[in-house]
Amino acid sequence: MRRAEREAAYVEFATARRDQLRRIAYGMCGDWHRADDLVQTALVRLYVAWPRVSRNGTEDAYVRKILLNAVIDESRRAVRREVPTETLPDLPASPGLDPAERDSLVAALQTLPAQQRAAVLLRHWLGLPVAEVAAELGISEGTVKSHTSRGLHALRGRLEEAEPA
Amino acid sequence: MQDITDRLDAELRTPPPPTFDVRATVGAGRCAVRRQRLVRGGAALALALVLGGAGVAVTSQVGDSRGPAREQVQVAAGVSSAGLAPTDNLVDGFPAGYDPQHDDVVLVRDGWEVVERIDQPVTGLYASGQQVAIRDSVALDLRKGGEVRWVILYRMPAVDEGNGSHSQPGGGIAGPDDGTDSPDLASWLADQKDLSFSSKAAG
Repeated sequence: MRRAEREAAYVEFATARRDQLRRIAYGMCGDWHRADDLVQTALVRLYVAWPRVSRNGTEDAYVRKILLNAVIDESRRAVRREVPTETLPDLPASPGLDPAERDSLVAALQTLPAQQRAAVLLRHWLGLPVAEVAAELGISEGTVKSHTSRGLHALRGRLEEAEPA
Repeated sequence: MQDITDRLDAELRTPPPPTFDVRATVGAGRCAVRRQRLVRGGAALALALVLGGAGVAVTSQVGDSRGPAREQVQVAAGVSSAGLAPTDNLVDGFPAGYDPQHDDVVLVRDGWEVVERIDQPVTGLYASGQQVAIRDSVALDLRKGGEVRWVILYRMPAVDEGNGSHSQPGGGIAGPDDGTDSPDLASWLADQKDLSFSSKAAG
């Protein structure tokens, strides 16, 4: 396939998937600007691999995988940036959500570990089968099930906390 | 479970307008492909100059080629070790490279095992931007502990510089990159053939 045709196919695919990818990224990071940055990064990597992934028909799985890896890598880097200190800052009385965000499920998602978050989004928002989620996250099917079960349990807890008494 | 799905759907249904144009990622993607080619090609570019038959080698890849093998390169069962020689003198990040002093010898850095070998994978094709077809090539899957490196090495015909010297242009590509999901050497090689080689000479 000539480059112009390849690029036209890439642009058509990326345009059709952009909003869904932005939603996944937002679900993972809780910030639309970061979500857009992460989606752009994923799309550039998709462009580089486009000849192979389009030939194999694995465009959707590939771009979701690199998007989720980018978010998870970013969250790991953020953890590594933390520095040890002898003086700990005062912690808020409750590690729960900000009152303004108590009714937001996306905000509640951000309190989950990255892989739990990804498993819940792929399995229960996108409706992907367990095997597909496992392949995209590079984990076993059993781990997907335990991540989603724990993630849903934690989310339900958050929602119950947020409901007015 | 349905309550969670419905609430997620409601919160994610209406994103704000995007802050980027998909077409901008094409430009960034082209730059990424170019960078990949430059880094890979430049890192491995080997230029052997044979001056007046004295056999002096100058190369960006091999500091001091040691000549014929003093021992065997480690290869997996079923992989031919013909034409492979061990070395500890490759000076760039590649685990393998052509020997500038001995035609048809591929040097493999000490400690690396060749677990798969594909001979002449891009021979007859043209490297990106080149007008001379590739004369000789090899793709190797190399392992060292848990580390995996895939390389494609290629050489064009020697060029007579007209002053008693010859140059031997060539290059190499190494992978896999972060984020690459190629399961094996053959799949990565197919990808690289699309990205970095052509059946036509550069115009």
